[in-house]
Amino acid sequence: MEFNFSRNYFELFELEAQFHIDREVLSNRYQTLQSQFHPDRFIESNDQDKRVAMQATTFINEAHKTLWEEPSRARYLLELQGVSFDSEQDTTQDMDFLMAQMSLREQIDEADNQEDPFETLDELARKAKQEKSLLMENYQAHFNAQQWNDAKESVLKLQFFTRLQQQINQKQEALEEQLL
Amino acid sequence: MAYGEKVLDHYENPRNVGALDKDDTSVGTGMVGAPACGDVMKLQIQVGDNGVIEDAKFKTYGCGSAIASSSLLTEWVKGKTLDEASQIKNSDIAEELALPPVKIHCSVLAEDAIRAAINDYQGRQVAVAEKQSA
Repeated sequence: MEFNFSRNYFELFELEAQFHIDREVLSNRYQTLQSQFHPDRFIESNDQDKRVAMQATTFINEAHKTLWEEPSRARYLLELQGVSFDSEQDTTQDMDFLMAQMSLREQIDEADNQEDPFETLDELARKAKQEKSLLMENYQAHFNAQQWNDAKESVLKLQFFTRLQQQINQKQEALEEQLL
Repeated sequence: MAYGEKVLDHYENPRNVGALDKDDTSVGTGMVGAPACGDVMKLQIQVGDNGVIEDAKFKTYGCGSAIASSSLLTEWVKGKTLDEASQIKNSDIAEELALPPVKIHCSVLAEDAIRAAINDYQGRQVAVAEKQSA
């Protein structure tokens, strides 16, 4: 059995390497590949084939996960262009952006004191979603103009909103528990 | 994940949490964010005429290690000159708190924050001097 590990994720699923993809096509091709290389099909095979099947499955899953969500797809496209990401060292020092982030986090903290905490959190969630789609638009504009650093900045800023959304969810769950 | 004793102490009893007036010309404000974890850190210093840091405050939204790193840093910089403070390395913080490798970036964040605060303060002094000579 053979599996070509040198293909990039778009090539693997026979998709154009671009931000807009048809998720239904991705989903179908993922399922086809997954069943083709599923380790269960190689129980009777030799160790070499078993190992390749296992590695191929891991590769296929990782590829699917990366392309499925917009933020990770955006980041992967930049990596294909040679832009590197370093989670240890990448920091943002855009003061206005960070001030706004801090203020949003304070609003989550203080949601308890509002008349309708859930409405406050819903409003924050709407805002986060809106900001995310704005950042995605910025990303695409920068990417198309080959402004890689600016495109990277948009991806990094996006991650703060992803974290914010998690914090809003946690707060909602905490408040719901208090009601029980 | 198991946190070390010093991290826990700073996390449970953070020193110098709060804010200084960011419009005061003797105050420098540094803000940094770590996209990987979404942490946001604000560090402020109040500097005397002799160039010594008189007070420091922080506010951090992040994990225990990020809070502990900024708390420890505010303790360290008080009484230091700007020059001395800018020489603090993230490795000093990581070592003092015995941060595990996956949390080293929290100390990097703290180092970036104090640098940014010093830069902000120095930028303000230049602006003040220009205004006076104008």
